Amino acid sequence: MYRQLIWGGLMTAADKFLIFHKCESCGARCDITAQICPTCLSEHLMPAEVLGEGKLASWTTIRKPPLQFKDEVSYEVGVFDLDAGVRVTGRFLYNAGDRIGDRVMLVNSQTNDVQLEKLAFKVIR
Amino acid sequence: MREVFVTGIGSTVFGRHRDTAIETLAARAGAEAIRQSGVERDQIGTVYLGNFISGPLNGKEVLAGIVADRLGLSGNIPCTKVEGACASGGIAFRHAWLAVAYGMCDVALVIGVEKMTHASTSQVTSALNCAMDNELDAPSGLTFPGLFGLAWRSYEHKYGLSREDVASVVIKNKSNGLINPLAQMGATLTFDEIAASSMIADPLQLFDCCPASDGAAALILTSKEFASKSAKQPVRVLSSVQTSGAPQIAKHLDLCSFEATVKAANQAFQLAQVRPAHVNVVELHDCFSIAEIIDSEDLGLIPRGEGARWARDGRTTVNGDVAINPSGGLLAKGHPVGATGVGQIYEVVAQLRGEHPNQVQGAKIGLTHNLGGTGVACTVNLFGVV
Repeated sequence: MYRQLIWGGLMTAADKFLIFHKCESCGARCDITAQICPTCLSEHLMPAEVLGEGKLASWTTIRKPPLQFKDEVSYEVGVFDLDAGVRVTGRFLYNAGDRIGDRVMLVNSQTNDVQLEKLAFKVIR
Repeated sequence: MREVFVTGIGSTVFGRHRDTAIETLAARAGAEAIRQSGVERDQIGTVYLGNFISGPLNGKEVLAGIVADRLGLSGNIPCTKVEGACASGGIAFRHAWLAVAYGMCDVALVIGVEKMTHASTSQVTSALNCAMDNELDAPSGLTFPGLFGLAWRSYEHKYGLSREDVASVVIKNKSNGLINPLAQMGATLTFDEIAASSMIADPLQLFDCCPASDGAAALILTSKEFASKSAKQPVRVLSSVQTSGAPQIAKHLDLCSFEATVKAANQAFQLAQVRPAHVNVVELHDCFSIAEIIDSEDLGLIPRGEGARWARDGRTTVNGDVAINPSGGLLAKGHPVGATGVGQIYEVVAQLRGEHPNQVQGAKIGLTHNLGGTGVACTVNLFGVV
């Protein structure tokens, strides 16, 4: 059972994993948005869980947003290097003192006081 | 492959042209380039027009054919609008160069145009975001200033960088813009003014960002036999390279380098048999202050991690080791997106003819660099005087 995010990706019911695609033909991992394996062009793709833990690669604070995010400013966006060897872009729930290289985890409805229906990470304290 | 020459250049002022239609801006620049080149209009064999967002912002498409009609071009010649986000103009140039270099025609018209200032900041931001991966990057709320905010923090972490270092790029380019009559926002700025400007995408501040602009630029490219028709000194295209790169931020292994630029520059230098140290004048894609630092390193002009120091030490001014953006660059000249890549070539051609208002003395070899999206499209061109 997967929870659909506004992000377009999926999290598992446990909210600890991100779902990527894994190719049944060649075994390569690709984005959940891909319907064709970029490695072998097969269309036989299966969901594959990736643990939502890793390191903060960089972040910024958006103060001039696109139209659809007008009501949310300001907010942080980060790039995260997951332990499984994939890099993802998502919201970053910034706290003072957070630094590049800090350990981060996927934020979910259990760990976060905000009900956030977006892909988001925060630093593990 | 034949030698190709730029024999006519034209440009509107970059800035606000609220009351001028986008096709009129394009036709004005085109007419100037045609007149200067000395070619007859029925000798033009093809038109390539670079434009990014005339659909969402102006409600107009098939611009190349519309502009050709305004210019009275006859003969049902192929007219193509080219889109590659901020690299649209550079890609239009490359395709016109290919057409002449490989003998499809003897004369080609290149135009770049954009009209943006009538739209609100949010509308422009949303339209520009069409060039982002809207499945995986944009849903986070990321913007293009945000992309370069990420790059700045990453660069700072990797090489060390101060607010003062980055401000030196802004001060230089804004000051260059004051000398260029085509520039939108030349200014004499102090560090304190830059540091006091509003935050856009931390650590990027207002003066670190190029403005939205209206404007057009145009070029006539010809084979050798048509080059002598121009009253001006023909400038030879030494090489023209187009590359692609990752369409998503997360697919860039290094957040403070664009592999499309690195690859394009390497190929361009190799094809032209020119070394980075030979380049006298550079117009590169400084959509944001930090981008100039990253680009100058990606292009191989400055060693890794030293871009900011070179700017701070004045080594990239018009009298420095390598003159970077003497036009004012995107930061001061403005960034009418589809026009930018063509406008850069306009500037470099003027430099190599020795006619630029902010002239690099004795410039013999020039480089232009145009980057689109999250580094998904890039062109690097080298030019030389005959």
